[in-house]
Amino acid sequence: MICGGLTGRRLAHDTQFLPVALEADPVLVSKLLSGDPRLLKCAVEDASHVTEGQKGPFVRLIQLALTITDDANIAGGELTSSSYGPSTKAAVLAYKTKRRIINFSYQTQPDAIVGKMTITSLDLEVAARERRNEAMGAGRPGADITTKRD
Amino acid sequence: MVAVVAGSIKFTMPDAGLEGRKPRPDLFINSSHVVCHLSHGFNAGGVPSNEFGSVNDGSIDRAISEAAWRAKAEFRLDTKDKAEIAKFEFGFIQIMFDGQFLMQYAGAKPLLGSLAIQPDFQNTFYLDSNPAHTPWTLPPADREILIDDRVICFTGDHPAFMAKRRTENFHPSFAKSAAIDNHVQLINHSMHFITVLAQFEKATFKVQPLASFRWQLKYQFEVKYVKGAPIIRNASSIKFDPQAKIGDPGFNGDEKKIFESRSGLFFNTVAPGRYRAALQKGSSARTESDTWFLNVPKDFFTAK
Repeated sequence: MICGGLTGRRLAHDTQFLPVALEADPVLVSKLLSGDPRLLKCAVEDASHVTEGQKGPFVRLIQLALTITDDANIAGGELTSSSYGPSTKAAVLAYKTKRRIINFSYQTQPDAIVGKMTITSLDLEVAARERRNEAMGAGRPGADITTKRD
Repeated sequence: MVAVVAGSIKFTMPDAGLEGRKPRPDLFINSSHVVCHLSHGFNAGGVPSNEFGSVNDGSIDRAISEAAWRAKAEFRLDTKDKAEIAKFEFGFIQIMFDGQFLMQYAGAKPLLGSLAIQPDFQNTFYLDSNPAHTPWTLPPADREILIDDRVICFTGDHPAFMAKRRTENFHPSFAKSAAIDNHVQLINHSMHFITVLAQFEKATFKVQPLASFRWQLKYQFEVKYVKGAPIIRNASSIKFDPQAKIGDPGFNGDEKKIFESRSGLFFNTVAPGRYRAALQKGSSARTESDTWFLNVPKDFFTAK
């Protein structure tokens, strides 16, 4: 994974600059998504887009990212089988609609495909959450106890 | 040898509501922390209200301003000779059994997992004192008053626990991501105490129990979030012996050892570090799951 050369780039729906790689092809930066080879391909190859009917750990990670970012409601059966079924499709469509992720070269409305723009957007939002939580002390000690009497 | 006059010991027990108040277990939640406390002597303004950094040693001292309950014992000595009396100290010694501890956090949805904290230091006996005034529960100025042959001894307590309201679930399925928020869902903590009125002879280091009472505290809370706002189910309890037991306290082996040696692990210096370490990422006390535990209710969390 390419991690160097970070800068700011504005996506269509962004309200602030978020770090992405300078390279021509976007790469994934979140810990959650960047370790999955299938999603890394999705981020750079049209042929590796994730669509309805597909199954695998990469689908579960997309479901997880949608739950983190949008509190998506994914059906239990789709979660246990890690499959891209109707509820995952609805969550992807809602996510893309909310952020106006549309390929204007051939579309006027968003579709329910997780392509380069969508996976990059999901990745950046998850990465922002990771950075926020790390700054807040993720995993650091969080307890104190006393029997105070004086 | 100074002796306590037989039959002269009079107790004012915590359950009698000394100062017109009784302790009531409760759970305070703000945007970043939770505190199990006993209501009286709890200062909500002292609870950290941001999520940055750690809960440090002493953080809870700003939230707990004083003892939630107090008790006193009054008795007469068989002499008024100040020089003789000065050879002895009187006061309360408290031994604590830190029992079951279970804390759970869960994600807003089953997909976001849950985690449990069950330390391996549960069921430990402590001398519940402070190194500055061991073995007594209180420092000399607060501990005893001597008026001629009359002695009045004081004690009190406020066991409290503070933790972060939210933590991150680092289950391997989540690829070490810090993005998986889990929210406090359950706190169960049971503590047993024996509070002993004692006489200590300075020359011989001999300590003698005069009277005692036992008490138990169970913090037992379940939390749900309705539109993001916490709703607490409180099944906690605090129970005191209705009356103090005069004479032999009926120690078990561990209690007897701590009492007679007047030494042991100090709860307030040992336990905070232990609990902090237990809640930390990577702790052996943490069990992380990539789905909800079976005891997480289906309606655990609805978002704002």
